[in-house]
Amino acid sequence: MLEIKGIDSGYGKIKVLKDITLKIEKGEMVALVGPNGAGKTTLLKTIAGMIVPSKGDILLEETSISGMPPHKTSARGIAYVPEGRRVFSAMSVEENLLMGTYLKKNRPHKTESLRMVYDLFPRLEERKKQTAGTLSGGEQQMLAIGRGLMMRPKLVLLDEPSLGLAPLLINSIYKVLERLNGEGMTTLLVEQNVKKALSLCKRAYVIESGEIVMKGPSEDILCDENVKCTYLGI
Amino acid sequence: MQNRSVKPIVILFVCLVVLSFMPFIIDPGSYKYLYNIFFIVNVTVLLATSWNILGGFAGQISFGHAGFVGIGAYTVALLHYHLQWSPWLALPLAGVVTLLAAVIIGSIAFKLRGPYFALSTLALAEVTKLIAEGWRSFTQGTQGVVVSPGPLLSIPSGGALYFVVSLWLAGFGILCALLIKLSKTSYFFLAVGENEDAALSLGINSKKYKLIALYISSFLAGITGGVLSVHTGFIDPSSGFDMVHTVEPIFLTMVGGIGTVLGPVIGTVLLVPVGEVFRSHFPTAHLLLYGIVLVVFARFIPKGIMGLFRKKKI
Repeated sequence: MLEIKGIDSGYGKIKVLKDITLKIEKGEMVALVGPNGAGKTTLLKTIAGMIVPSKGDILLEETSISGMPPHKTSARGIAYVPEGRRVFSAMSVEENLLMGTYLKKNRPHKTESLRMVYDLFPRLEERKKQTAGTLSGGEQQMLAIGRGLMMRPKLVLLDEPSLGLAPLLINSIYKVLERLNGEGMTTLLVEQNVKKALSLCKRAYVIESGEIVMKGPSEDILCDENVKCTYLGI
Repeated sequence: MQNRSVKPIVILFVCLVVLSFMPFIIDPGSYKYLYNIFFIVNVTVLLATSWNILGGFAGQISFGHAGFVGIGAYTVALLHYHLQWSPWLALPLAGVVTLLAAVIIGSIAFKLRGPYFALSTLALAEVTKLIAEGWRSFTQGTQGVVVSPGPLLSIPSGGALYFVVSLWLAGFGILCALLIKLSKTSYFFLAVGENEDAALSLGINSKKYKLIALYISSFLAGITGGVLSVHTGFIDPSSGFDMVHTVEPIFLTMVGGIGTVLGPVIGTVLLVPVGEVFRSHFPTAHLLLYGIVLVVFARFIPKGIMGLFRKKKI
């Protein structure tokens, strides 16, 4: 589904990512974990087209999307859910979701998509007329994910869905992610919450200072001594 | 168009028609000062509405509206000076030329975002002022240009004419804002203004919407400049590109309610007459008054007067 071939990327002259190679198969949920400032968000932004890589290539279903502006990559089926629950706070919950059907190809499915999102997050249906800015942190995160799903994406890029949420809410968000995974939604999940992410995804990449330092099945990564002491504090 | 969207437009039209009869009720000949204030209010409504479309609807804060006003004012003045055009005829062109300038300014300024965009518009406005000052052979530099408006369709220029023209121009500005607000586009403006990255991730071409807002805004600001130079009869760089044309619309929009159609109108109608009367008694002290009002609003009523009636969207 997604193939990243040796990309370098960064902001202006500052190089953040060095020679990143990564692959996600159709229907797979892959975790990308690493410490603060490792370049996780930069990688997602590069895939989504917000940053143009200086080297390498990004392929979505065998076609290059490298250097495409974000409104084009989303038309190709990439839904980027930015970190920090970036909802449109002045709009209602439902208006926020409907913004996900901006693209013409998504408009005919409007009602179905809304139904699907409300089934995943019943809380959002209860609050559909409420202004998004007045939602709790967890609800805003649900809304951000739901809005991304309204695009009926081929690939979801999820940036730290657990950031700043209470453990109970993290669990309910992860339940939904598990369900999406079961339904075969292709996802790249970026997390600092290593334990959570690795327990959900079968495969993971570890990124440090802009380089992939480890990849493989989640169990192997969880067993690694280095990962244990750096991320899990065991 | 649905019933819901037609109603505010009809109300606007009726208000404009009714207000147009004002010169028959209050004689412009004997109430010159009053009509001067009416004119300033109308023109300021147009300018504040123009700023609000870009800054309020689309969330792109502009510090460069003085530049647009100046370009519009000089378009009318120079077409009159060099080609002997009637300033009235040149008015629409003031909007068009300013829009063309905005195409250039937008292509530069929108490379930046947020506060950096705002600062670049300030710089670009100053650049246009410097051009007006420096290009003496074309603009007469700091000497300025005299504009003598003459009659419009054999209606002699005077209080009544200025009033009606400025009233309908303000009405045109409000209509533009209203049409945007009632359309789907207003949601995309809001999304781009509130969170450009999130908007981009949904496939919204944010650049397109920012440019649309800028073009509409600059067109209206250019017309404001044009009608100002017709009314004043004289334009020079320091009056045309006066920073007040940037500060005042921001201030009035903030007080009235940013991002609403009626906000800039209410802010202007309430404060400009008070400011004008204040100014005539204590020159420049009206700025002090404006300052105090702004501080109070920013601290206690950040959503402005319209924010007090939260439910209404317009």
